[in-house]
Amino acid sequence: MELTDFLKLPMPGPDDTGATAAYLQRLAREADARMGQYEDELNAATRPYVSVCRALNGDTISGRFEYTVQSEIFANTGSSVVYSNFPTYDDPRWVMEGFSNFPVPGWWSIGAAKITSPQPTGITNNSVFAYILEVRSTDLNPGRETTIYRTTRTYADSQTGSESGEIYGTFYLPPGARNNYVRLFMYHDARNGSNVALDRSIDPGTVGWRLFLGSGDVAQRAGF
Amino acid sequence: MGSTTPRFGIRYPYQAEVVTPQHFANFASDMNAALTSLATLRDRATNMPAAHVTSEAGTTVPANTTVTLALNTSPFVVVNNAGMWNPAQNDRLTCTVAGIYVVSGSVGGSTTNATTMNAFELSLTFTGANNKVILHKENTENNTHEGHWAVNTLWIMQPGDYVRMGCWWSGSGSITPAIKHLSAVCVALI
Repeated sequence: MELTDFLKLPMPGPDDTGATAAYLQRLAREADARMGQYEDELNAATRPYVSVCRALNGDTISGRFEYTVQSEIFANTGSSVVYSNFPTYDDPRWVMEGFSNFPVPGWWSIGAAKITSPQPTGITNNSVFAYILEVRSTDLNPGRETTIYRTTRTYADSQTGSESGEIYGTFYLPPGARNNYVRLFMYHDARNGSNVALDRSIDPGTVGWRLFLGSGDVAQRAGF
Repeated sequence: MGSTTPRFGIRYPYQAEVVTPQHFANFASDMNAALTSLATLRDRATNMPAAHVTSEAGTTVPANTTVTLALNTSPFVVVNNAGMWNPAQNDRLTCTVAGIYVVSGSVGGSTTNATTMNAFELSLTFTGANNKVILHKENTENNTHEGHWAVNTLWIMQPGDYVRMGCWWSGSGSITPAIKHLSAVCVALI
């Protein structure tokens, strides 16, 4: 029995004498299977991998999260992270960390945004308040971590006041980089001001990432 | 009699049955229904809900006052494939399809009427099933020149939920942010 070119459906050959019930049964099942694959792919295209999480109570290295499947999303139930000594430029500190097993390589976008505004109380003039978002892999170079992506967002602080913002980026996860850390750092560069210990409440907000599955137009309609 | 396939319910005869024209008619009809379903899914996958509206008209924002930035003057609709933008409610984008959305807002324009400006805040306010205000706030070092700001987030929206862009600043005088953009793109159905 021959198969059609594209869907590979069974087709009676020239020597077959008429269609039978067995043939029709096989044809229906094969068509069901082939179309089922397309249905799965189209469903995946409308439900790309998305994970959003939020730091949990009062832990400076918190929000440890696993890769979440499809459109599962965590509720925003976290609260603030409190620093007794605000991290400085020379000692940026994690406010969130995630460890994930990205299922496939490809283009991902990553972002972190604070939900509420922090309340700095001691930032001095002409200093910098910043975030770093980075992705590291433990697979690409066995024995040491490799930074796959790193982006920084800085704010110039001229005075006491609150800052609230977000940081986004798009990166390519190469094949083989399945075990990855995603870390959000924050720091205050006090080198231009006075290096004082600061006591404040910082809410790092959400970290989310998603996978661009497939073609360029998927990325295009996502605005990247 | 016969049976049906597991995914699309395509009818087929038992092996002992004599094939009749009705079996082929059933097969053709069920294939048509399955492909129609796939075509609907394809249309959704290649045309996810999105809206992007811009307006270059300025909105006067007094100091220390939160003002919703309507796109009320000559709005240019870049895309509005799911009816999220309604000119009768020109200060918002309203969700019509449940999903996770990338939402962005930005403004630019003159702050020269600000005598002093200490901080600027651009916000996205979500109203509906998941109320939230997303802020982008910067201290502005008495910036009295041109300013451009943006705020972005990833947020769950349900049909009927809407998002508006707002502006607040501290200082004295007034500012007139313009070149307003508000967009929402569904990146995942839920």
